[in-house]
Amino acid sequence: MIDGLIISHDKSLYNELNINFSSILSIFEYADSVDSAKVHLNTESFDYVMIITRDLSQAVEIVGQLRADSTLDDMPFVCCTAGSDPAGRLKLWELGVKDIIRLPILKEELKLRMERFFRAITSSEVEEHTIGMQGKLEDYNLIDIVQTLEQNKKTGILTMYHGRDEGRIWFKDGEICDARFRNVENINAIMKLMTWMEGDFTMSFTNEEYERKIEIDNQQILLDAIQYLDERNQIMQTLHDRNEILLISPETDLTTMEAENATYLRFFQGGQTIATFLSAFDDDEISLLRKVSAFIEDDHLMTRKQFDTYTTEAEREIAQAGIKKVFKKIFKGREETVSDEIAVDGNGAAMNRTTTKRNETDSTDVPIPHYCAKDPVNINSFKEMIDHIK
Amino acid sequence: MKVMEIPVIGSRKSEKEKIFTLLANKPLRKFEGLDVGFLELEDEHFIYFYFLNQESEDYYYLWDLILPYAPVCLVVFDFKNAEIFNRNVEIIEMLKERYDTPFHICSLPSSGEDPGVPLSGFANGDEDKEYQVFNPKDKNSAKSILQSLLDSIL
Repeated sequence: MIDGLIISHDKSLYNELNINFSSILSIFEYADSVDSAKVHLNTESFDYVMIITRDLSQAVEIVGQLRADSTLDDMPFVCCTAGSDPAGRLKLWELGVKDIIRLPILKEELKLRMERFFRAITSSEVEEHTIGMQGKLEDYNLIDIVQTLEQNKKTGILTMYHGRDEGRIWFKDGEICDARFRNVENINAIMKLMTWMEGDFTMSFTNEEYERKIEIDNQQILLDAIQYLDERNQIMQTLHDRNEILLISPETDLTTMEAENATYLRFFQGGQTIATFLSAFDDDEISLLRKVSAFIEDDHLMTRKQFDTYTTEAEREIAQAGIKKVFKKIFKGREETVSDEIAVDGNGAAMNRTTTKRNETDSTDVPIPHYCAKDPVNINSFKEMIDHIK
Repeated sequence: MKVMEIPVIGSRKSEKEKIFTLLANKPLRKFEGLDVGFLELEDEHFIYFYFLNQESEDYYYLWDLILPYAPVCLVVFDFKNAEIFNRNVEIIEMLKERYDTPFHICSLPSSGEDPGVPLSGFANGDEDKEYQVFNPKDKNSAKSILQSLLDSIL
């Protein structure tokens, strides 16, 4: 994904770009002035900045002001401007813009120019990391890659990309030394990465001496991985499509469940797929899939169709027997917790929420995805440091 | 590295950048349903600010994952906007009901020019609570809010 910041005093130019080129520009933000652009640049990460103004001298002024900020030294700039003054254009090149697109321009040409610009900034990033080998996981899965690197006795770092996730495996003379994915390390990380059948990979070859943290040889790792994938796939086959949205049953009472199970189940609040569930938690996928399987078996999770059928049936009962009866059915055994429900619109999804006052059982062994350190910190030391902020 | 994690419950998505400009000194990182701002202090001490949006109920489950473990929670909204104000009274009542985490209430004026007058007594039983106001033009206002926020949990 390429994130861009568009700076233009004339929002209609930005809107035009937005309407015609959103498919190739992916994500972008708008700023109407240099000051507003600086706020965006200080708070968000962008891959490029595009300045759109018909006035060439204004383009020079904007780029000049942004270039004065040394933190933007590596930021690629592209200018769309109508001016033809050679001195002004020269000044823009001197300020280090990557491209100047002259207005007016045909939509088709602009599209081609922008695509070329994106390729240029993407390839320059790749060069910085001295990539030796790259490809798609759809074409070569991790087993193929490991075998190739082992045969050629390669040393370096394999980086794998899957959606927003990134995992790394370190190789020394073709042997796997170490692996990491989020907070998961060694063999467990490899097993997580083995399940990625879509995405990209890059291999950076180096001559560094990596510490060997995995003692098992590649062949054994691959055998274990194949067995792991087989078991995982067997469980997957018994479940719904991994991309089908699952919801918590309106009859499920999270307050009576174990804290750990309730946390897992709460993830499906409002609807989530098995694929997103697996990627949200660092735990072993087989144990996560077994959890989902058990939730489905116990009717705690249901598909959107089942959920809609249930709610339609509930609505029918409302019409036939009055709201009180259905309320009792939906919140069977939960009357005492209803007052703890979140004070929002009261739709089905919101009503499933339950009280989670902090207590001893909640704070232990609850899988928290990546945030919330459990280590207590010394508040005083933070307070003193805040005093020193200028 | 020592990290203190402070959830920030903001009233509107459009205000999060203002809040992060005041609180954080590192670029904002965006995740699904959650934005994270970083304030780097000295000696590898960091404060991570997790921006939790009230508008998107799909991500309310993140509140349950984060709030029970946070030392304090910052609630930010515009005191002068009646609609937002009323909604936040509900949100604050809900926070009190659901979590033991102490919360700290601040106003961030939508207009940006006038910091507004702090109100008090709008949340039952909280008459003694101090209500503070971010001045979007003055980073020191964020500093004093952080200081009193930490004071409140010491």
